[in-house]
This record gives sequence, C-alpha cells and structure tokens, in this order.
Amino acid sequence: MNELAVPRQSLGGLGPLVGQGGQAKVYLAPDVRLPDVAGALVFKHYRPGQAPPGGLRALVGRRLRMTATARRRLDLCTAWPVRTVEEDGEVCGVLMPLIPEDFFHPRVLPSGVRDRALLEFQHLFIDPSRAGRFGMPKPNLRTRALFCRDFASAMHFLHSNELVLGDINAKNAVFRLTARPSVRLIDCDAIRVRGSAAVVAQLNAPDWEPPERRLSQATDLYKFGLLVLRTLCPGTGASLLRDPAHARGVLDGAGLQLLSRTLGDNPEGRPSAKDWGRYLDAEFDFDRLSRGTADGTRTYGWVREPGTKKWVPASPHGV
Amino acid sequence: MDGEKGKLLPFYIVIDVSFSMTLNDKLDTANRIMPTVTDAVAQAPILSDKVRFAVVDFSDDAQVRMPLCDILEEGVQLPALSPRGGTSYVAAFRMLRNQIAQDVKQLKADGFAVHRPVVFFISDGEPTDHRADWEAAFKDLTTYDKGTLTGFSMYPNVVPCGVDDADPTVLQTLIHPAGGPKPMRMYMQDKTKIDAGQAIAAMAEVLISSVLASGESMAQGNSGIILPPDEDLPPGLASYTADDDFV
Repeated sequence: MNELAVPRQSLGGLGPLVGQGGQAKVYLAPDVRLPDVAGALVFKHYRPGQAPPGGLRALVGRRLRMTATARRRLDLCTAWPVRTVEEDGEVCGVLMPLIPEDFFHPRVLPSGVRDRALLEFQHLFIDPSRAGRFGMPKPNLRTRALFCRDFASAMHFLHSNELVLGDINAKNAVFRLTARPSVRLIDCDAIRVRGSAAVVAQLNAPDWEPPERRLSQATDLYKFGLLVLRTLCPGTGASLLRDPAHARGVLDGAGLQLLSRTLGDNPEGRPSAKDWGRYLDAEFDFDRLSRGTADGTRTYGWVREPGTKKWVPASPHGV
Repeated sequence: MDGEKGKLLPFYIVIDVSFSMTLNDKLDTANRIMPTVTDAVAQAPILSDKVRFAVVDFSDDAQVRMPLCDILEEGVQLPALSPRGGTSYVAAFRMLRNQIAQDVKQLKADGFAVHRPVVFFISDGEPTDHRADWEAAFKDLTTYDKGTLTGFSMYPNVVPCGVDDADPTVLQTLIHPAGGPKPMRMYMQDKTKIDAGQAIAAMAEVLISSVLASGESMAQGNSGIILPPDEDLPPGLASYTADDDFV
C-alpha cells in the first residue's frame, strides 16, 4: 500500500448503492474522509474480473501531484478517482467524490412515478418541450452556451495537463443550473495520460465516432463540436446531428466557422478548447441569443459582462 | 457519419389476449408492460432517436393496438388490452407481416434507415389453429432468400416468451433466427419459482434491457437487437436457444 491506495477494510461500513453498471457498483462511503477531498466520497467497486488492469494509480497519482489549486480545479470539473482501493494486493475499486446534489433534478416519469434524475447532457439534446413534460429543466440558449463554455474550459484544463478524455458522450458529462451553469465529467477511468495507454480501452460511443480511428486530443475536440451542436440545437434527432449548418441562426459567422473546423476531417485544423473558450467568452452574441429565446424559459445562472468580462447574474433581457 | 436521421429499431410487442390471459394477473401485468417501457425510455430520452414501438394483440384475430411510434411523443395512447376468444398464431403472424411491411416502407419514405424489426411474442397457451397453418404463416413472416430475392425481406427477429400453458416445444420453433451469428432466444416462465403474472413482468424487464442495450450499442453497421446475457436475467425466467432439449 502507499498514499495512492487505501485498503478495502479501511473503508468501514458502506452506505447505500447509488449506481451500477456492467463494470462496477457504486456505494456511498460515509466513513471515509480524505484531507485532499472536500466532500463525501463514493466507492466504485469493480465487478469480479472487471477491474482495469493497471493505470488507475497513474490517474490517482496525477491528481495528487497537482498543486492544491489545480487539484481543486480538477475536482470541480471531473469526478476524478482520488484513491485506488486494494484488497489482497489487487485493485478492487476506486474512491471518487460524490456527485453533488445540484447535478440531480426531480423528474416525473410518464407513468406519474417521481424519481431523481442525474442531469446528463442527453437531457439537453431532446426537444425542450419534451424535457418540460417530464419536469426536467429547459435551459435557454444562453445557458446552453454557458454549459459549452464551461465544458471547453474543463477540456482546456485537462488538455493542458496532457490528458486525453477519449470518450465524450451524452451520458458522461453532467450539468447543473443552481450555481453558475457548469458541467462535470464523470466516468473518468477512460481518460488517459497523453503518451500512455488508457486504463480502460478508449471507445467511441455510438453516434460520437470521429473521422479518425485513433483517439487523441484532436478527437476530443471533434466530439466537443458534436456536443456543442447538439446542445445548442435541441430537438427530435438532435442526438445524431453532425452537420454544423444546423447551428445557422444560433451561432454567428465566427461561431459557425469555428464549429465547421471543429467538425472537419482535418485533425490539425480543429480549434483548441481555448479557442472555443475565448469565442464563447468574448464573441458569442448573448444578446442575440436572449432575443432568440422565445419560449419564456427562465434564464439561470451567470454570464460574462461584455465590458468588464466579470461574471454577473444573468437576466432574461441580457446583460 | 451520414444519415443524420439515424437508423431506427422497431420493436413489436405482440400479446396473446385469449380468455385464459385473464387468469393469474397475466393481462393486468401485460397492460403494465408499455407504461414500464415508456418510463424506461423517458429515463434515457435520446433513445427516442433510435427506437420505435408498436403493440399488437391477438386472439381469434389480431389487431394493432398501438401503431408504431416514438413512445415519448406527446399524445401517444398506451393501449388497454382486454380478452377475447382463442389463440390464433396465424392471425398474429399474418398481421405482423402486413404491418411490418407497411411500417418499414413508411419509415424509409420518411428518410430513416431501419434496423431489422424485433418481435417480442408473449403467449400463455398453444395455438388454436392447425399446426400446418401457423407454421406456414410463420414461414411467410420469417423466410427470405437473398439469392432469388423471394420471401419477406423485412422479416423480423422473433423472441418468443411463454407463460402458463404455453408449450415450450411450440414456442421454440418461433425463435428466429434460430442460428447464425446472432441467434435469438426464447424466455419461459419457470413455474417452480414464479407465477405467470410475475413472469410477464420479468419479460418486460428483458424487453427493457434489450431496448437499452440495443439503443446504446447501435453504431453504424451494427445489426440492432441485443438480448441481455443470461446471467442478468430476472429470477424465475428461463432462457433457451432453438437447440435446447426439453425432457
């Protein structure tokens, strides 16, 4: 054992199951506190035979070697594995920060059953009136643009730290509306350090395939382009959109050009996450967006004031 | 990369509504299948860009009770099935052939590509028609010769599901395709563990797992339907291939 790992028996009693998939089950770990993690933790327990072969320690180590400021930034934009959990010398799981409550939303299913939904990006892609019928949020275009902006910022941070996200899709990024509109990347064990193999084989989710076969920071950028397009142009079939022309009327000329290059076949021609951040900060015409929002949806959150570039509370009439 | 309209996977839920289905909560449970499926799709709503559902019931005749649709569309009426008469597999298979042909043509005319449709066929008894008749009707529904281009090119994959008095050796002949790279399976109630109503609820779970797995895995070139692995089946349900023996 070392500082990257904690023994399975040190976790104490586990809390309720909070999620499960084919690879792992996720439990609350109420007895565990770590000096470098602000809130509650969960234990992702891999199913037998499903633990990634190696490399998780590298991801954990990457975080621990960051400055405290960078680590806080990482923890804000991802559900990063903070320790491996080991049993009999083998990795059997990881500790991760619990996804905060404001990334969830109460929902009413068609049968009338009420549940609590994780605000995955897929809910941004569907027709907003459909989302509204289920009691899910219908953020306006301005807020959608802020999600894209925050995603670009997170990706810039990860890319600057020599990381490759790999699998960006409709379910592994979540958003919240209660604070400044922001996003968080979840299921981070498919992220890899540039120049190394992935912990879990990096795959393309269906409908997120980039033009080139090898996944790299350039394919992250392509997938981010799909995410921007689908987030800004919600509706029936939006989860399949690829043609930047759909964003006409939503993005201005500069934005359309940026999106076209991002969704182009030439990996070298794709604008960086920083380019996107700069555009969404400075050039994106928020006034035009607010005029274009006719559905009366409440504007949530915060926007950049064009003159001072400071974050200010958004108003339905623009800043 | 092309085809932004995507490739749709049509699911046909075909339910026996013979009088015997009123026993053991079978019909009540069958009536809860579509609300449960709808909730599951609402929880993963981009699935609506991938899957369509229809409900057909059959007895002495067969009726489309819910035409093929996007289940989350506003105003979709989920059918309330009620019992009537006997168990004509012939009626069900003939209706399916016509309906699938019509629906697939319509989807294509609307610009969609279409995966091979899937039929979940739920019955609690033996067919009341002659064996030769339902076998012929099933052959018409599922046979296609690529060489001569004869038969039904839009033939569905068929997943038979049996409860109570359904004869496994009969339903087993409805597994389609029975072999090849992606054979389908049959699901039967294990009468020693659960009653027929519970079995139908478990079959709805299998259907939902299949919808979710198929929807998530359908990439370009994939052939659509994925059934859950046997180890993930709800308890009380037995899964069989076309080659399994019944002693």
